[in-house]
Amino acid sequence: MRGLLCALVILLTGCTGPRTRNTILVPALIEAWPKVEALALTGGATETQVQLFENSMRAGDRFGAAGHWIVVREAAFRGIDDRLASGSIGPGVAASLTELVNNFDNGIIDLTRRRVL
Amino acid sequence: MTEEFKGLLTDTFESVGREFTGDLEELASYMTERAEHLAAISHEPGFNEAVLVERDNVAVKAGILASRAADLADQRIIGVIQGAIRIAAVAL
Repeated sequence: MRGLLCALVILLTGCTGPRTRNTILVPALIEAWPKVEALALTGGATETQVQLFENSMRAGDRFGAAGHWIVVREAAFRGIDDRLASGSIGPGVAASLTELVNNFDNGIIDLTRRRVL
Repeated sequence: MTEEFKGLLTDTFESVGREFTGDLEELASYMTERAEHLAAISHEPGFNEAVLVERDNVAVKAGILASRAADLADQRIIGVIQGAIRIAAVAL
């Protein structure tokens, strides 16, 4: 998680108005990330795929991060389905987790779209 | 409940010396929605996990709203949101 913290801070470097995001959105995404990561790994994402996403964030590679995030996101959704099928969570809890992945998605979109080339 | 959440959020931001210039009504409404959802699933396996998940849902939503409105806050807000949403879910 510390790696993602550094990655998110670096990604924000050079953003116009970093104050606008790094005191609510970034901490919130950092808090949420372990849950999203765990879902993605449950859903079949490899450690490498997760690491590619984190590495892109760390490098400030917004387009790369956005691309790798898609892989992680789809695996996270599969992870929710897997946990629901196993009975470890109920359908309402699955809905909460789905909302989380969608919110995380919106947060990543918000961060990665800020730099206009 | 939305009005109560609005008041809580306003007080919380003030307590950390900030002003939330995002859409407070939208955030409070979202908190209400997530608290009602938690109340409806309290019997499900994984409920305790869902409470933390919903805290993060509200926090990320707040972050997105705030980033769009250029706001500031700190981690204490996330903690207050977690407590409030759990209390609200139990109350419901």
